[in-house]
Amino acid sequence: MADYILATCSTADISPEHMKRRNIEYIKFSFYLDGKECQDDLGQTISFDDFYQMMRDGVDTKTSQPNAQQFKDFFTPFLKEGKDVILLNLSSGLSGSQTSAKIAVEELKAEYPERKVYAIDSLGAASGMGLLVDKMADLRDEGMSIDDLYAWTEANKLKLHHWFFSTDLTFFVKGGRVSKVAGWFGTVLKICPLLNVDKDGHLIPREKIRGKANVIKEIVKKMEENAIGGLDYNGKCYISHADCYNDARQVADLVEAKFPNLDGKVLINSIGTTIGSHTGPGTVALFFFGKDRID
Amino acid sequence: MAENIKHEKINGEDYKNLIISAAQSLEDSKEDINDLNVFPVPDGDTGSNMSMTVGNAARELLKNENLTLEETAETTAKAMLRGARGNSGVIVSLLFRGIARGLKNSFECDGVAWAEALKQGVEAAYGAVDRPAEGTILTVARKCAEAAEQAARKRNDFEYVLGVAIEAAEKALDETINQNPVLEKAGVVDAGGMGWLVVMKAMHQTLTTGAVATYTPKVSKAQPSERADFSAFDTEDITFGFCTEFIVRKHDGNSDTKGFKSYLNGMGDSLVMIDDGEIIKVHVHTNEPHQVLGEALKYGVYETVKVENMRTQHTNKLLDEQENAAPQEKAEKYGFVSVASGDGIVEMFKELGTDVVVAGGQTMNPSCQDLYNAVCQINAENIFILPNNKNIIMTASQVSEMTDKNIIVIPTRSIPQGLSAFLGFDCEADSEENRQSMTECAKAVLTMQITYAARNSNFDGLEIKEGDYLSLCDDKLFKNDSSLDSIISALGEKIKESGKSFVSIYYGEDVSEEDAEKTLAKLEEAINDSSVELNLYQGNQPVYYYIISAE
Repeated sequence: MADYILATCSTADISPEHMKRRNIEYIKFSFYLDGKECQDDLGQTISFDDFYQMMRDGVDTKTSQPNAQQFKDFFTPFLKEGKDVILLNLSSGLSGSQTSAKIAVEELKAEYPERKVYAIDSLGAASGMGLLVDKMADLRDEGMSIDDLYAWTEANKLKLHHWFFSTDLTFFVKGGRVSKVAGWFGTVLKICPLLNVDKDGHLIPREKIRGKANVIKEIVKKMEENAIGGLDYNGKCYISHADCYNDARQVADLVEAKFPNLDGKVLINSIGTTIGSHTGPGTVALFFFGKDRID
Repeated sequence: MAENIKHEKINGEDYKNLIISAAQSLEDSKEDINDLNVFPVPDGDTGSNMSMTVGNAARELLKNENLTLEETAETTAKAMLRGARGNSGVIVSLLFRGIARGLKNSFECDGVAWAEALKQGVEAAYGAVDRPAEGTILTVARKCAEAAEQAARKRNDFEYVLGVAIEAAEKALDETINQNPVLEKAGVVDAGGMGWLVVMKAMHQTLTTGAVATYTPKVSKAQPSERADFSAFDTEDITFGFCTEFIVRKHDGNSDTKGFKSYLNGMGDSLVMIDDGEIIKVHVHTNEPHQVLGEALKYGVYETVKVENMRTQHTNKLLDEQENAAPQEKAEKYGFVSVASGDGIVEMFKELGTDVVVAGGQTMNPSCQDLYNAVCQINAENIFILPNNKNIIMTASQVSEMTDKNIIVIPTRSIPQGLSAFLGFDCEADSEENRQSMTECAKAVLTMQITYAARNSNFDGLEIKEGDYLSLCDDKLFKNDSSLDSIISALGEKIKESGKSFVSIYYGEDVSEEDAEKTLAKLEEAINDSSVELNLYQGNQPVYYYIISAE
């Protein structure tokens, strides 16, 4: 097994057990509940149920990315041990954390010239990052070198598809993630936007669909259209949800029925506190490997 | 005979008289024309729509004296375009627009010129209709023009040509019964075609009697609630928004300003122009004061200029609603006009981003002018119009002729189609992409509507009693029954068949919330599928007890 550290951020939205089992380290983002700082530790200190309930109750949430020093502090112990590090970071289209990570990497390269430190802009988020870093762990375990893994990830990261829908737009708008434009404010009309992450790592509203049943059908249709091999897709599929497990389960059932060659069952995760602060409750996201994202 | 010689040609004043008589005649016979309507659904009747359309020209002509034939024809065409309501109204306005084209540069019209004008009218009308159907006003007008052409070759006499054209129109109208199976079954002639015959006949009769025509529209009686809605939007008295007055000192005292006067006539109404050789004094109501003022500079330099916005009050109200959209601000890329009635439904259109909702619908078709006024209130480069009724689509399509703004009509045929069209809108996409995707989203909706039968009818194999509940599915009659429950059950089956999973029920102003809840439960029971989501909305629309959509 290759002897380097594979790392990602707490925004990858996979469970602490999953991280541990796949031998993946993670740097914690912070979030604020009514101004009080908390560490995003994958729901260990504050459960996701509690977190979303607080959001529903109107508790003000904000998020904070690690600064360059925090990235340095995260990388340094590994480098001191004489280990190289490769980190999959949250999309630069959603957060400034890649800028901070790069500053840290440059400084550390000077301090530890014999070591390798990579910070990769995933151009992705949530369990999409999670699915990508899980794949990176496979390749590492197969013995791929850190340089090759870096090259592979850069070449393949846009194959990771992120599709989201939301049954409640309130928090998207509050977070400035979608603007208030015509057609978006049909909350009373039960309009569910379907979004994805584009090639630049931005969250883009793609379609508006009336009713949950219709949007669930549509998100699975997106997977049919985009997954490698279409209905013969044989990779893994992750779904994450913000406090709406039943909706996520419906999507998972549909995916498992339609894609018989799936690698294992669909893995359902919670959308964590960092991403969840922006989506709010009521969001379901679907992740899989597909053709390169081109727009 | 002396009488005949007198009417070999007509001039501007004659034409004005003929149009006014046509308007009056349509007004007098509108109920008869309305009664030809075989469709049992209460709707904006052909006779009323045609009468309002031609009536607008009569009103406009009565404000003007001593216009040339060209000016009269142009004024007529413009006024009809603005006043056009319903499909038959739009077609009449197009016929007169073509006629105006044929009479361009003319001071007199003889038999040959009239035949040519009628021909141009028919070309204009056919050109604007996507799929012209036989057995309609189009056929009648075409046969009428063809006969006129032949007659003019025989004898170049206006009155003669008109007389022959009328004979042909009568014959063509009789034939419409056999050209349209629906008419055949009902044993009636086409209402629009009848309207055209009324117009032609009135013109002929006034010509032969030499009477001076007057125009006195009846006070309308029908649809009180709809009309009440409309009064809030009634801007008839301010067709042109800017009272523009100026004095220009002429460059050259001898220069001819006739062209300027006819230009001004084309730009607005209430024109007073005095040219005393040295100065030109102008008072005009127009929507384009800047253009008028620019044109004036060709004749001289300004002494004084005054422009007042007559719609200020109206605009202020609008500004309150729109909060920050000042007309001087940079234009938005996109704006929206939707046609709807019922405060619940109007509110939904606003929530979706409609800038101006024009009151109207099935029984009250807004005019081109109403839609144009709405467009004028929006400071945007591209404006989408959602007519939300099949009888308003053509009217909406004419609005682009009246403005420089890019008008995109999404041919929505129902309220649910209009609401769902918004799902296809993307502010980043260009107007053509949006047109396509909004049209597609609109089409993906199944619309069902429940109303009452306005008349006894035997329609499309259904025997319908006045007062029956009547349901329509995408504009087609679906089922009638004296019991609402049996209709709801049938609609539930239909939804089930469609495989669609999101159902919305918008209940009308005549339905209580309790009854609506019962209908919801009944429909849910009929669909009997837990994966189908049903939602109930208070639409408060008139005419339709329920509008139901599945998507």
